[in-house]
Parts: sequence; structure tokens; C-alpha cells
Amino acid sequence: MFMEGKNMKKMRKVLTALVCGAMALTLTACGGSSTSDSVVIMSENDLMSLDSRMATDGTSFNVISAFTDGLYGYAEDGTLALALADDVKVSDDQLTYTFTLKDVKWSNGDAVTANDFVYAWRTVISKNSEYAFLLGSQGANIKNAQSVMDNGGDVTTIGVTAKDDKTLVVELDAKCGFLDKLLAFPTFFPINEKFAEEQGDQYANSTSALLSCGAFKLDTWEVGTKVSLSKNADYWDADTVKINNLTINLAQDQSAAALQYDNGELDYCVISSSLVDKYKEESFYSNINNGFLWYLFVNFEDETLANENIRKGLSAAINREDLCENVLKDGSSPATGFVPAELCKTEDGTDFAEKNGDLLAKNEINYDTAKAQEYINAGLKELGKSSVDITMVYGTDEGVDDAATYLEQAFSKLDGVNFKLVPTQKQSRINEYQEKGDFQLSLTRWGPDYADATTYLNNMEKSQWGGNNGGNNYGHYYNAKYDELMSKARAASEASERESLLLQANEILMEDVAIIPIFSQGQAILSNPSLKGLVHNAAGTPYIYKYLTK
Amino acid sequence: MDKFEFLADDFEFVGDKQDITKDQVTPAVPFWTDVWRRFKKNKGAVIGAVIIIIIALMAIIMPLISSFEFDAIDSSRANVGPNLTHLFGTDNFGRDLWVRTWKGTRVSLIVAFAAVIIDIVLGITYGMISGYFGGMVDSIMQRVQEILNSIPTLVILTLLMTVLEPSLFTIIFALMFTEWIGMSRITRAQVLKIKEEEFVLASRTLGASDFFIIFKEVLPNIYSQLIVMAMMTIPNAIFYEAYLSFVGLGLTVPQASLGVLINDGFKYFLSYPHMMTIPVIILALLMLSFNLFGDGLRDALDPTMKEM
Amino acid sequence: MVKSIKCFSLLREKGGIIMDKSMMKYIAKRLLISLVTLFVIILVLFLMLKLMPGTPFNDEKLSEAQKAVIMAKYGLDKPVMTQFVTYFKNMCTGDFGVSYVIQKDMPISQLVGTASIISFKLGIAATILGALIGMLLGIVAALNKNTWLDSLATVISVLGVSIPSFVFALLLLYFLGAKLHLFPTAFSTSNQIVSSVMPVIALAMSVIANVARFTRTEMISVLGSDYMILAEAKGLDRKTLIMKHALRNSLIPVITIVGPIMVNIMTGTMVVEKIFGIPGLGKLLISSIQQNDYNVTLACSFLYAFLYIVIVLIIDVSYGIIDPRIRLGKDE
Repeated sequence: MFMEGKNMKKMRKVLTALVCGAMALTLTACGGSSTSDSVVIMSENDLMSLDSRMATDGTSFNVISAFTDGLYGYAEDGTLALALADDVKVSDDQLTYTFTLKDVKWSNGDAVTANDFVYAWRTVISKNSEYAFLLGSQGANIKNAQSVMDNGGDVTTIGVTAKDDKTLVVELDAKCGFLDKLLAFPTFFPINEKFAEEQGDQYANSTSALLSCGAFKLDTWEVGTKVSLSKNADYWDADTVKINNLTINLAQDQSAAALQYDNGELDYCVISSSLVDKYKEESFYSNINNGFLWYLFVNFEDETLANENIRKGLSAAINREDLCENVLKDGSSPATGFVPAELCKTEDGTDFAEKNGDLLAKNEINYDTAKAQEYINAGLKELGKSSVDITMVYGTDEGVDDAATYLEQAFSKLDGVNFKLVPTQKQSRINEYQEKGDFQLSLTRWGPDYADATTYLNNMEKSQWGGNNGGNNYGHYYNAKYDELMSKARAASEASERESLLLQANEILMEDVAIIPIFSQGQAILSNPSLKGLVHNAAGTPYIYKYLTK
Repeated sequence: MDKFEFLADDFEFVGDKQDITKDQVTPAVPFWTDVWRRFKKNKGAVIGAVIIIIIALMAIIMPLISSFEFDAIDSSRANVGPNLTHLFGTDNFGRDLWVRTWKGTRVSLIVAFAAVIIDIVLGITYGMISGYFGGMVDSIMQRVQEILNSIPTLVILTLLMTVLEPSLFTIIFALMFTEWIGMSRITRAQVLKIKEEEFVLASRTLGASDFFIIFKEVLPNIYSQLIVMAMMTIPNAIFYEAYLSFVGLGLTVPQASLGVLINDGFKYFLSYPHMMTIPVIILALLMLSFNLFGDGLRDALDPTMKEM
Repeated sequence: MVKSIKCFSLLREKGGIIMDKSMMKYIAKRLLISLVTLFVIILVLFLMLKLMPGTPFNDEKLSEAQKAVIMAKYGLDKPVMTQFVTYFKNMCTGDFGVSYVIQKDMPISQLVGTASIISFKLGIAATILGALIGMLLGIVAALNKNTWLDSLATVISVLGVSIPSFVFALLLLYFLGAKLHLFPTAFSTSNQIVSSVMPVIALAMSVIANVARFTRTEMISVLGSDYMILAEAKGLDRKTLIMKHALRNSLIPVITIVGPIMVNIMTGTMVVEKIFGIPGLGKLLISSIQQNDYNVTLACSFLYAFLYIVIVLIIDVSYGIIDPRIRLGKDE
């Protein structure tokens, strides 16, 4: 046959190799199915840095919290508990905190000392970490921290000192009601000064350039693929750590992860709305609240959007229930105000958002197509126009296409509104459109930095008008009463007084339709039924792996 | 010499000698009728052409007569598989996929058409000039092409986005930056093969200008490969357009194209395979038809293609 | 034994003709031009990146003052040309800077280096596999023109090109990986060869399609040319005809398309990488552009440009050597 000859020979060789290979593979391809003392978890995103000072994303926080502890940590029920700190004494004016440290060692044998914290916090500022603001007036209020950040100056003057190896003294400029929550955040974790200085530029670039003092030891890090950790036998709380091996798969595709889960190679994964229908009847399917609130910035400098009736009409045109239940399907829930549900609790134990109730319904800006059209008509009359053009900016790289599509439909149904979507990238949305005020509506989200309502409410003050201050009030909303309430809340000495002021502030936002909240994002989860002890936080570090059991 | 013995029945009487010298002259036929005739004979090509026409007609007519709007969201009928009301089923928003697919095919056909034109006008011309003239011209042109090729398209797109608005025109404009490079390289390679042939030398000796030679001598001898590869670049253009929409420079939601439908349906493949499978089938069918048509066209235009 | 001596002396003879002075001069000239081209590419790209909106430090929580300090720390506040000169000088010594966003402060050589090695391996494997199968398919189609074999080959080609590689990837993952458990469902560096099989196949599909179509056309054109008719008339049997004449002449042009295809696969397959969890260049490039991580974009693009130029150079030179009809330089 004419097929003989050099090509056929080559072909034969290749085919034989493939077949032999395939046979060999079938035998070895058992895959990494997790056993009873090892857990494999999927993370949708890659981690950005294992340097606790520089990390800004959830995945990095998760991994860092697995192999490093801070002064505070989380207990199995999700509440805060002392971790590296054995004991804390607070001064009467609540401005000085004295921590006594436990006897804990780093993975290279060095003891964890108070100086580790001092070094870490100082270098957070001197390295200009993006989360340095947490040490300043928007966060912990560490003495001198804000002024060093604003005006330069000696970073050794900030209010953290090591009285001796086991005693750490923290001084504040002003009271901070949630200092314990902040101290559980990786930005405040200790770093071994000698080791870090030795590693220099290479610090945290590989597993050999990092030390562990937490529940797990960092074993391997395949950049962009996965991180493997193993139980730290010398951990101060080693008895509570029940698994020996923990693997985090980074930036995994959701369909591929779902297949791996089906195969038994994965214990926990996040799936997208598109896969929900396939698994929603299963016992291992669940929803969690991932803490982000999606809402629309409204540009008050724009004539059309400055009209309150137009804003009300837009808000009333959105069928939030339909969006969450039938389109997103991942446990997202309709927003009831700017502060989302499950963020923080009030003094009497109820959820903050629940205490306010459904602010949308109260202000009649919840879903009602007839009312929506009424508002729009009233607004058009006030503007003296028969129709208006409204555009909405959104980022195609933010995974929110479904919501954008839904909103497009909802708004297009309004008579007198010529609605157009403006797709862009997140970077552009923030730096071009929002920062320059070149938008009417912008679809955006906010995630809590800490479990307190101010993490949301602070955004709407006048001082947060975007640009010079890096603030998030791009819509240039301003209400003097609102600002007054917020500053009073900051100065309040009683927790209950503070709380009621914040509740009032939250109400004002919806009375004014300062922003149009849409939904509180959820996540669809597939989780091995025998996997227990995964602690999930809506604010701060998303996942704590210390208490996992199988 | 062997001796043969002839028997009586070895020969047969054929006929009157006058027939043998008869000379039949076929009537002169214009070139294009000839081409058309040859094309018609090629069954595959005709089938391809017919399918393209059918799909094009469906794309034009279906969205006009359908009772469903392509962007009507109705979550109560979401994720339905193909049935009698929704011939192609619905997507996750409850939008009818029959209408969306045909509307999307419209866009994709326009994009395909534009891509082929760009390939021909820019790609082939660039390659021919570069290959024929050689030397400094070739060197510079190739270097320019290398530079253009090495800039990531996403960078170009992002910069374009600061200036242009997303629309079909923007897509075609973006295509003009990089779509033609592959074609130009293939053309150049073909030209290099041909340009030292004797007929080219002959033309030059007779005083033909360079451009005459390029377009009347070289091109007719190389277009067969070019037609084939031009057809192969169509899916690239279609997916490039889907990528543009994904980045935000192409069609905005809720408009659709085959590429966008495939991208969207991909996410749902494990739950509702029909959302992706149907546009893929249409695209494959379209591609197959274009290729058969292209082959037929090539065979019809160039009767010298002989079989072994 | 005798045969090999004959071959050897033939080679020496031919070698003299192939690698003569003018060819060497040509290669040297091309190398110089390539360096200049690379320089221009880096310059153009650098300027374009600086024109892009946004900065690498775009966390909503950063204040302007902080942003300014961070920019200064990395030297991003200096005039663009100064930045470029610094970058170029560093580049010549092998320092490509650090990543600002994707992996904070990680040296580019580490970040892009490991990713590129993985992508290269996969890309080369996919291209070789695809080219071989594609050529085979094209030859079969050409030799059996207008029969069912030809149509089958055409259909396969068309499918390979119209179905995007990520669809193949997911199908392979689903059927071979999840359902039949033939291959691991994710790429892992500890088990590279085995876990690369499915990605390589997925990537090779479009290569097969393009190469097959191209080979078929070339082969058909060669088979119909005059010298083939002459050879047949001379009495050569079909096998020799094809092996000695047809194949050689049709396969050479295939290198013109295989080169660029290989470079594209090595650098631009983000979705396939995501599906199999491969930490490759595709994802790095896209994320770096979206997040303004300038150094990563520059390094990835530079790599791509470098490869592309080198491969184009190799192709052009090989073409000139193998096919004496082609003169590449100015008139001899």
C-alpha cells in the first residue's frame, strides 16, 4: 500500500507510544483521591502573596491563616478567641492593650516573640502595604500610625512596643470597638524579623522563604496550581487539628472542579450558577453567603440620576427575588438596604440589617412595575423631558454578566428610559469611569473588611468623595445629617448609642436612595458530607481550616 | 521480431473512414459559464453552497417571524431543552434559543464575510507584494508584520476601548489589526515558490509591469491554496468576535452571535448540554459548507487540477 | 557501509552548496535585523502599556497618597522614557523586574519562567502531534481525492477548526477523565507526562485541522504538476512517485504554517489551561493585561515575540536551503 514509508513508520511509532502510554496511565491514574486524614479544597482564585503584610485577597488570607496565627483567631463556632496571645489586659480608657504571648515556636525553632509583631506592623507601613490603612484611623487607630502614613516620619514611633519577649504593648490614638476582629486579620500577624531580613527580597516567594507557626506547616507551593500543607505537630493547639494533609487547589475551573468532586478527588468546591441545577437536589449541595453586596452607584452630579423619582423608579423596576432565585440560583439573596444581612449583630443579638427591616419596602422602592413606571413618569415631568438616556457601566471580568443582563432587561421595560449597557473591565470601571465621574449608573460591589456596619456606612460620607482620598463615594452623595450621625457614632462611648446612630444612618441611605442595592452575593457549594469543621466568615479571612475533620 | 499469425476474426470493421477525420468544434463559451458548469458538476460544492444559502435565509427570516423576542427574559421557562414551542430550547434567562441562534448566525455570517474580505484585500495583497519584490521591501514588510503580531491583542483592544464604542463595526475594525497576518505569510510562501518560474520571467521580458505580473501571472497560479486557507480562518474570526464580546469590545448583552452563544453555553455544558451543542453544530455545518464551497470554487476556477 | 560513505560525501558536497558564504551573510543580516525588531517591539509595547488606563495598584481601599508612595517605590512615577531606559538596561542583565499584582514582589524570571517552561512543553507536544496527524490526514485525503476518505478527512478538519479547543478540553475531561478515569483530571507538575495527555490532545485538534487542509491542497497541486506526469510517463511506480517526489515537495511548505501555530499554542490558550489547572502563560498574559501588571505583560509578550521571530527566521532559512527555487537575499 502506498501508505508505507517514512510517514507510516513515524505514525506507527507515535501510535504505539500512545497506546502503551494509555495502558500504563490507566493503571496509575487513580488520581489524588482524598483519604480520611487529608482534605482537598478548591479555591476559585489564585493567591496573590503569602506575605501576610502584602496580601489583599481572600485566598491568600485563607492560606496564610492556615500556617500562621495572630494575637486573635477564630474558635470552632466562628467566634473570636485568643490565639497567640495568652492573655490581654485593657486600660481603663481603652487606649492601651497589653498582651502576654504563649510559648510558641516558629518552624525553624525560633520562639515567637513580641518583637515579631512590632517588626511586622512597622513594616506593613514602611512597605506601603495596601492594607496599611487598617492600622490607622479607619481601623485600629494605632497611635501615630495615621500621621506616619500621611506625613512620613519614623515608623518606630507607632504605638506598638515589645516590653519583653513575651509582652506586647499596643497603644491607640482613639478607641477601636472591634480591635479584636482586626487582630485576627493577617495584616496583623507576626513575622520573624531575623528570618525575613535574611531572606530579603526573596521573602515569601517560595516555601523555603517562609516560616510557619500555625495549625499547619507549609509544605509545597506550585505557583498558580496548588498549595500543600501538613499538620504542625508542634502547634500550641495541636490536639484540635484533626487532619494531616491539606491541599488547596488554586484558580480551578468550576466545571473541572465539579468533575473532580464527582470523582472523589475534591472535598469542597465552589460551583457557578450554571451548574447549580445539576447538583441542587444533592445532599452535599449547600449555599453560603460570601459577604459581598452588589449595588449600583448613582451619580448625583448627573442631572437625570440626581432626580429622586428616577432613582426610585429604577430601584422599583428590579425584581430582586426573581434574579436571585431563578437566575443566580447560588444562594444570593435580595438586598434590603446598604448593610447586608449576616454582617454583624446588634447588642441584643439580632442581625443589624434585620433590625432595620426591609428598607426597600419601607421606602416603596422594592419591586413593583406599576409604581416604577409612576416614579419614572413623575421624574420625567420634573425634568421636563419625554425620555432620558441612562447608561450603566459594569465589568465583564467581574463574573456579574448575568445580573447585568437581567438589569438591562428590567430597565429597558420602562417607558421613557433609553437604557444602554456599557461593558468594560473592572480597572477601567473604577479608574476611568467612576473616578472621573463619567457614569450614570455603575454596577459595583463592596465586601466587608471587618464585621461591623461601618465598613459599609463609612463609604457614603462626604469625606469619601472619590479622588483625593481614595474614597469610595464615587456618586458624590451628600447628606449633612448622614455625616453628622456617622461622626457622632464614631465618638459614641456607649455601644448601644453607637448602634442606634448607625441604624438611623442606614435608614437615611434608603430614604435618599443614595445607592441602589441589588443583592447580597451567595455561593453554591459542593461539600463532602463527611467534611466538618470548616469555619466560614463573611468578613475578614473567608475560611479557617484549623478545625477540619473528616 | 516475433512472428504473429493473424486470424480472420482478429479485426473488426469500424466504419466509414470519413468519420475519423471529422472535426468537432465546441461553441465558444464565456469563462464564467464554464466555471459555473464545472461548479455544478461538483456535488459537494453544490451542497455546500445550498446549505450556506439556507442558513443565511434562516438567519434573515427566522428572527423576523418568530413569536419570541431574542432578549425577552422570563425565568419561568428557563433552561428548557428543545421541544415544540422552543425548537432549540431556552437559555438560563428563559430566552428562546431558536431566535437567538438565528440572530446570532446573522452576526457571525457578517463577521465571516468581513474576515474573508480582510484576508483577501489586506492579507493576500500584503503577502504578494512582500514576496514578489523581495529584498528591502520584503524585509521591512515582514518586520512590520512581526511587530504587529507580537503586541498582545488584548492590549490593542483595551486601548481601542478607550476610544471606540462596542459595536459590530468595532469588531470588524479590530479584526483588521491581526486577522490578515496568517494569510499574508501563506501567500508570501506561495509567491516565493512561483516567482522564479519561467512564465514570470517571460512576462517580465515582454515588458509587463510588476503589478501586472503580480495580479495576472502569479495570483492565478496560487489562489487555490489561498481560497482553502481563507475558509479555514473563518472560525477564527468568529471566535475572535466572541472573545471581543467577552472583553467588552464586541456585541453588548443581550445581543448574540454564534461565538457568544457557544461561550455562554459552555458554562452550562454539564447541566444543559443543548445550550452549547446547538450553536456548535450550526457553526460546524456552516464551516463545512464554506469549505466545500471553497473547494468547489477552486476546482471550478482551475481545471488544471488533475487527479493522480 | 558503502552507502553511508556515499551519503556522507554527498552531504559534504551538498553542505558546501547549502551553507555558502551568501547564506551565512543572509543569516547574520537576519539576526541583526531580528534584534532591532525585538527592540522596537519592546519599545512599542512599553509605550502602549503606559497608555493603558489604570495602575497596578487599584484596590478600592487605597488612598491617593498611598498609591503615590507605592508607585514611587517601584519607580513608576518617573517619566516614561526614563522608565523604559531603566527597564531595558535591567533586561539586558536578565532582570525583568517583579510582578506588582499577580504574585506580589515575585521576580518575573521565577513567575514567568516556570509558567513558560510548562507552556512550551505542552505547546511543542501539541504541535508535533497535530502536525504529524494532520500531515497524514492531508496526504490520505489528497491521494484519495473525491472519495469518501477525502470527505471524511475534510469533515474531521472542519470539526477540528470549528469546535473551539476549550470544548474539546471539557469533553475530554468529562469522558476520558471523569467517566472513564483514564487520565488524571488535573495537570500536576509531579505527574507531568500523564496529566499532559488530555490537554495536548485538546490543543492539537485545531493544528490537525489546519495542517491537514493545507497539506491536502499542497499535495494535490504537486500531484497534478508537470514533473509528476513526466515521472509517471517514465514508468515510475506509484509508490516511488509518491515517496520520492510528491511527499518531499508538498511537506516542505507545511513548515510555514506550523511555526506560527506552535508559537500561538504556546502562549494563547487560557481557557484550556484553566480547565486543566495548568499554570501556563495564557492565563498569566491575560490577567496581567487586565490588572496592569506591566512587567508580566512585557515579559510574556517579549517571550512570544522572541519565539515568533526566531521561528520565522528558522523557517525562512530552511525554506531557502531546502528549496533551491527560492532566493531570499538580493540578487546574487
